[in-house]
Amino acid sequence: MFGYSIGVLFIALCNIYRSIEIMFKVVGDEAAAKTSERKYLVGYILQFICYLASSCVTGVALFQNNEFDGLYTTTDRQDGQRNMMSISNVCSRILSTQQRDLVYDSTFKTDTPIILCLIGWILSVCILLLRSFFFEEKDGGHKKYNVPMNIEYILHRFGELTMLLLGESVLSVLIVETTRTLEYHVTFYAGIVSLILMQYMHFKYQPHSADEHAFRRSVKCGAIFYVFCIIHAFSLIGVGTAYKMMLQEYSQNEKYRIRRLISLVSRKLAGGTGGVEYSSAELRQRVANMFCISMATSWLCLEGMYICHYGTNKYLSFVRCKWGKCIDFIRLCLIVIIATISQYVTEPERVTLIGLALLCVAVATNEIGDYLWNKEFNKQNENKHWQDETNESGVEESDLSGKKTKHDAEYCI
Amino acid sequence: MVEEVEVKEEDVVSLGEEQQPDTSFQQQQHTRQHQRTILQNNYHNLSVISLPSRVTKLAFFEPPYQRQRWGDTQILPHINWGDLFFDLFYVAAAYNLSYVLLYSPNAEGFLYLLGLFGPILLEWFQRTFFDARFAYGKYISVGEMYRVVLYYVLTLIISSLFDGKLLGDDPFHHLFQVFHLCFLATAVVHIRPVETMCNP
Repeated sequence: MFGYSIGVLFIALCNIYRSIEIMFKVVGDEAAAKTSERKYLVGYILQFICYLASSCVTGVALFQNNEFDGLYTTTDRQDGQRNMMSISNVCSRILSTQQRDLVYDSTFKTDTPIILCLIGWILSVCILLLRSFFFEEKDGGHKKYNVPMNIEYILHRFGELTMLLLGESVLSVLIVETTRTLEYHVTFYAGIVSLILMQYMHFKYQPHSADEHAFRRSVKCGAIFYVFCIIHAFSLIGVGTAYKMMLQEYSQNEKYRIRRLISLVSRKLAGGTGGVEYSSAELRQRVANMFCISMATSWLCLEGMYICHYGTNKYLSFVRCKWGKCIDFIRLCLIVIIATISQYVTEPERVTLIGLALLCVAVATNEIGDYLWNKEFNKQNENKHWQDETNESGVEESDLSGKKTKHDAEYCI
Repeated sequence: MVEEVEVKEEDVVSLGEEQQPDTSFQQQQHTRQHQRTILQNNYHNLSVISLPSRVTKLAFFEPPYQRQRWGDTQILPHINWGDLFFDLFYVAAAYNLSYVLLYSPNAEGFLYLLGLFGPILLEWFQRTFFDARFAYGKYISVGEMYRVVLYYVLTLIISSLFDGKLLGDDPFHHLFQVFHLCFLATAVVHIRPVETMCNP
């Protein structure tokens, strides 16, 4: 934990330096840059303080108690020394790294550092939300105190973040010991197809141009979208881990264990200390819960992002139309069903198959909904009943010159 | 510090016409026009992005530039290899984090997932927001680490020979980037299962 705390502490320090550099050295609109960076700096400093506290707690515990080496038990230290001296033992060290090297004395166990890290980043997000909701000037005043973002760039980068998190899920499904059972293959292919559909669904929910992005809509939409992105990232990690755990359950069976030695060496990249202490049934229940909660959270975040991009007024006007009610009812039902699958079924292959089926229905519903959405709003645009969304949200205003541009509603957080 | 840029008359005119300055801005009009010209001339650099390029100026440090102003036409930067390289660290982080939940599928594991992924995920967003607003004179390619380190060593040696004039294309920010990634790597490599993490 000490290494982690030190890492994030120095990252926060880098951010503080970068903000200060912008405040004093930037070429551009210095006044706006200085004001906006000052606001960012508050968040960075809060993070820095929390991470510093975390580092101090872990550092004091680490160096006061046996000065690092003392954390290993005598037997482990002796084993470690022998490992260093013997090439053959180096191999065995790789095979059982966690058991040999990372068995610490349990008397130093504490959750304080992780709570401090948690407080650090949550505080930073809360400050941003508070600023966006209560302290930003309206009617274009924010432009004097903020530097505009390149929304196209944000759009691309957020897409890349989703891809890398989905990539982790793909990795989780693919880098697992294989077995020859039917259940394994059902879970495996259901997982792969589900991830493909999740990827498709994610980009279906995102706008294709910067002008439709939540950051260009309003201050609040941008801030809420940012929070949804964070939650969505966590949920994708949860989905990936759930698939990995489901597939690993099959490989626990000795009868079907293939390539065990190879995988032990090559696939325990992150390490572990010998697995979970739950019974098979309890573990299944927990994995199913994790899968359902992560999947439902991911869908909810996608819905939330969609509303942020297009605005509540437009979304609600779609819900009020004849087919909109139907589509949104189906979407809501799908989210409720996927959140509660684990209450009825816990077998991995069944959970993943039901998940896949629900995803298929969700994608089909979204396609139909997309068609109806376009039909509804294109018709409104033709009849001039639908005004530009920036007008509706009330964020459009003249720029500093008094001339209206298409970027007038633009905001950055 | 900043290289003197040849001011093109048409750029200044077009920028002046694009946005009529407010009364509060008029005092700094001349300075701003000069800065805008620098920005305009650096658009090319900002969009080329991150490919190894030739050294064209003698400067150890270059100030960051604002990417765009309100109402400007936004130019999407070209594929940024530096950003993709940065993302690789998050692939490893996500993979390590999955083991946190794998070994502790309970409330404690969830707490550690939040506490471990939060700070580095926030760093991703903060960096992205920064890059969406500002850029360095010549965008930093993180993939050039070897070259960067060599540059830095060379600049230190040559600086003594050239009386303060240092060789390199903003090696300061290149090196800053290297350190930044090293700290990120330190955090990522220490993401371990709960049993390990709850011990200092």
